[in-house]
Amino acid sequence: MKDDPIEHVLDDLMRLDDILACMVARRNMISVMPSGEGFKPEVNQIWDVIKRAMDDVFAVIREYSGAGLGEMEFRLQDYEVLFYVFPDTENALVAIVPALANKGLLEVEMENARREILKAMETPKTKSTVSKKTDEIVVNA
Amino acid sequence: MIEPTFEAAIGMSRKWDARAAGREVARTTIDKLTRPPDFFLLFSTIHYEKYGGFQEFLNGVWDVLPKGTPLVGGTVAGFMNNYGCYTHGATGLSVSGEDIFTISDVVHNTKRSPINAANKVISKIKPYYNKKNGILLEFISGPTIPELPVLGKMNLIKSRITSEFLLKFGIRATSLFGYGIAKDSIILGEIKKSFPEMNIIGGATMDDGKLMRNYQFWNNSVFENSLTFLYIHLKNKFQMDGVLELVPTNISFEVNKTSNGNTVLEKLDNMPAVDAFFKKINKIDYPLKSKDLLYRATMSYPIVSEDGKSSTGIGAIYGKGILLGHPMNRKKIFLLRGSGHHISDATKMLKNTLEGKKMILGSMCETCVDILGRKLYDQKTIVDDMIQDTPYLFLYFGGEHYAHKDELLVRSHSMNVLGVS
Repeated sequence: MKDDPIEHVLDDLMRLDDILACMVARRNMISVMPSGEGFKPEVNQIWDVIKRAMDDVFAVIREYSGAGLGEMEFRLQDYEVLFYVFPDTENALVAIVPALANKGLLEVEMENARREILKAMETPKTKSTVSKKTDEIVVNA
Repeated sequence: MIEPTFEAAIGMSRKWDARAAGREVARTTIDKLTRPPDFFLLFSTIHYEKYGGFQEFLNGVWDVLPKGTPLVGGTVAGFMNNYGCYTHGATGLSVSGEDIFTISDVVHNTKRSPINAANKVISKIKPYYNKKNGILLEFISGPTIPELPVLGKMNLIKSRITSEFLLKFGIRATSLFGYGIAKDSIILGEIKKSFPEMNIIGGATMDDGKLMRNYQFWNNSVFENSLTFLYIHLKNKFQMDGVLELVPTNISFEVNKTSNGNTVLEKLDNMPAVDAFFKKINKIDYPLKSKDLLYRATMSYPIVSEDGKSSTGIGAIYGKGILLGHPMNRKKIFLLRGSGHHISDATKMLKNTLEGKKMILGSMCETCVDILGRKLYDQKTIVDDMIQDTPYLFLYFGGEHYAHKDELLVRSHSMNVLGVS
């Protein structure tokens, strides 16, 4: 839905060249995706294996989020996947970036996005309307 | 003594459309002033190049900014202000005060003819130079990875013949095309020679760390390979300070041979520079796998001169030669190391200059954002605790400039601040 504030935040992140994909997700579930043209084409070729690895990471997030786990990341082939966990939840803001991207600069905007999403989550009227199982994700080429 | 009236305001925009962002950054900045601005500093990240262009961005600013307001600025890797930390968007700082004298101008071809550019700045300032309360704010085209016709981007050359050719002739040729190092140390060195007590704060404009291109703003025009400056006389007291944000390691090299104005290290520890460098850091061949990795990996090995007055990163490797971002004039150099902890400590060292002011302007290194990432907000917390509600703007450049009293520092990995009372 166009007026979902979380979608807007993700759309803004996708405008950064080195954000190849981003989403709000938890294990086996993508809660919110960008509303625009979807993920960038590079992600297509590696999506299946990234998705499986993500699910394993979300198992760890589920286990330790309550203990204060704030962020995780892994590198797979030429990509890095960053997880910014929303406090005391199993949900995280996830972004896929090239392994050689200038990650520090991207992290600043990821943090801004995380803060905006938290704010939107705390606003009672806000509802995330997109909810898909990760198996059903369509990566637009 | 009562300080003269002085107002500063910070504004910003996160819009993507260039014109809309220009309008918003101008409006949110000057709306906070009770009088028309005496000058306007404007900075943005590189993104507006793709979302309408920088001319349209400036057109948006001038839809709002009162005609005739001196405007200088350029592109930066990011910025921190009262509202947050950003690596996308635009920000402005405007000032109005009692009898603030200003002149501003732009000079071109800073990489091709740095002495000529410096002389133009000097002649413009000379009639008005005031060694007691004059401050030069300047923003120069920052380093770009050399690009040559046919060969493309050139930051890692393994071929002996090609690299020897480039070291002898190519580096000079790249500056003719507007690429290569910023030459800021040459330009500011000349300015400081003419005005030994000149106060300077500024930096080298840059993009999002890729070092492909950058832009400078002056009034309603956008430039490349130029230096924009604003020279002001303030009646208010001001303080300046500059510190390195990283700390030297005990890994050092004797510098035996340099070229190109000490910007190319040819021999270290009586060995070819590349061999000596990678031998000592125990990373032989690791950074040589790809051009991108070379740049990222070597950014982890910033270098400082033994007197701490010059620090830089590796810009390129040509054969056995190491090209630096700034000249290294000393016989001994050290590797620097950095962490969030070091950056926090460096920030706290600026306390005296930051506390109790009416405005703060900071020239910081992009490496700081690179190292801290989302933890940049931790640095902001430290700054906010010291500054409280004072309008402040920290800019993340590709090289920082600081001059106060008889000292001139043109370096990377530093934090430099101007605080006006």
